[in-house]
Amino acid sequence: MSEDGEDTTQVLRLDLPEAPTVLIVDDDDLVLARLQELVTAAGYAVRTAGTGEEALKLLEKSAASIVITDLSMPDMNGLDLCRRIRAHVWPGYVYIVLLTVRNEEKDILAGLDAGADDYLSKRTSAAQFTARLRTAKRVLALEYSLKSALEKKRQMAMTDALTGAYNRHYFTRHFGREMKRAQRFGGEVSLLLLDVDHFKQVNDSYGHGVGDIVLKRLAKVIAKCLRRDTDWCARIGGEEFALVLEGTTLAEAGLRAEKVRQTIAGTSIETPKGALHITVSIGISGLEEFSNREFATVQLLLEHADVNLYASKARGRNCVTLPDSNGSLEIEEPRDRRLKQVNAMQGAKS
Amino acid sequence: MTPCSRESQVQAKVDSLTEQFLRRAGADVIRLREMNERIRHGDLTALEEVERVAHSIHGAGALFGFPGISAAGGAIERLAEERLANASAFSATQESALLRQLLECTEQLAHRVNAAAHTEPSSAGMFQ
Repeated sequence: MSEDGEDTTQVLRLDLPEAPTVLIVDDDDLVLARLQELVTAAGYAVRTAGTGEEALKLLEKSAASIVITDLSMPDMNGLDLCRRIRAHVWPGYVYIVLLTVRNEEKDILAGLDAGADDYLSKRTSAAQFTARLRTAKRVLALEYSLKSALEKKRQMAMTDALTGAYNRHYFTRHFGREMKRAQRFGGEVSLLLLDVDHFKQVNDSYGHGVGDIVLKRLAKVIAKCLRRDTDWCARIGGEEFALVLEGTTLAEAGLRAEKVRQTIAGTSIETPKGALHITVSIGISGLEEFSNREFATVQLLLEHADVNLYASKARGRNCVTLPDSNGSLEIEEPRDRRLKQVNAMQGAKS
Repeated sequence: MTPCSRESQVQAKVDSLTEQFLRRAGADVIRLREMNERIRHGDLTALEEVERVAHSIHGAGALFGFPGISAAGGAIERLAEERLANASAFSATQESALLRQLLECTEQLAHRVNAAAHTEPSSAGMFQ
């Protein structure tokens, strides 16, 4: 059973988003025309190819999910075409039907061994032929359902179920990758650590249901403040969010953080207990702080941002704190500084 | 477009393709006779074309609902295939027997194509 209560063993809705495209391959123009008529009348999009090579080129340009191919063709026969299709990676499964007048046991076995899913005689009735197409469609729908379920699970594994923002696991993994990329190829990465001011009071006064509504709305407001392609946000704690800004200097990060802070402060959040206004405190860190960028790690940047977040809380909340502007920090410094600051502002953070 | 008019359009297309198939089969019979003549004069390279034409009749005949035509095409295809697969093993007597069989099957095919032009396709093919 999944977190949202859906039984994940029952996700196999056998529907495809659109009718599959059928590619018919035969070296006989009349056979192609007849099959095209039949398959089109059955409601499928159809493309045709006169040779195996032409079929492969068409598949590469725009994949078809069902291929109906003749067995005996000059140059590349149906068996070779099956093997070539199976040797390639396509966006989805390609269901192959061998359609031939040869129906001896050895031909059928050779066809199935070459990768065909079905083997039909050209003497087959139109009714049986279209029924076999429906079978192909069911198999493709099953594959589609499984892929959708897997994609849903992949999304669930990297997103926070409440807010839809990325989760801490995703943050740790992807922020680390972005840091390494920037360290190797140059460029800046900045981190904003954002914490809701007095969030405990929201929960205590209005209940956790209202607290959840506030967090959901907050995630949406943050998302609107981000640049679509390069910035992203993760919920890494109860009411704590990390905003990763690629290619952004500390000064630019400061401006963006201020915009986020102001937008949140100016937002009225509708809840069953009435409209609420919240504020956030933000601490910033970035690769730019490090004189030797190789020493920067996810953990260090988080610590730097956390120190600055504490500083924002200490300064009365609803504000943004950048790293010291008087030069780069040494890697040991944040820990010492943090200890001093934590001691100085005991109880400041809530 | 109503389902009826769509159906009649499909039927008209099907009828047209059937006519084309029978016309082509008639032309194929003439070509097969010519190639048989070349084979009779010792030109065995014509066998490859015989096999190709016969294979096409074999497959399309079945698909268009003419099992008799398909079977006759299949018989010619098998004869050509067998001879091509055993190029050096055929004696003069076997060559002569092969040619006789090819001629017989071709005439049988001609008869069936001619008869099919005056009858409806069988319900066994995809046209039905």
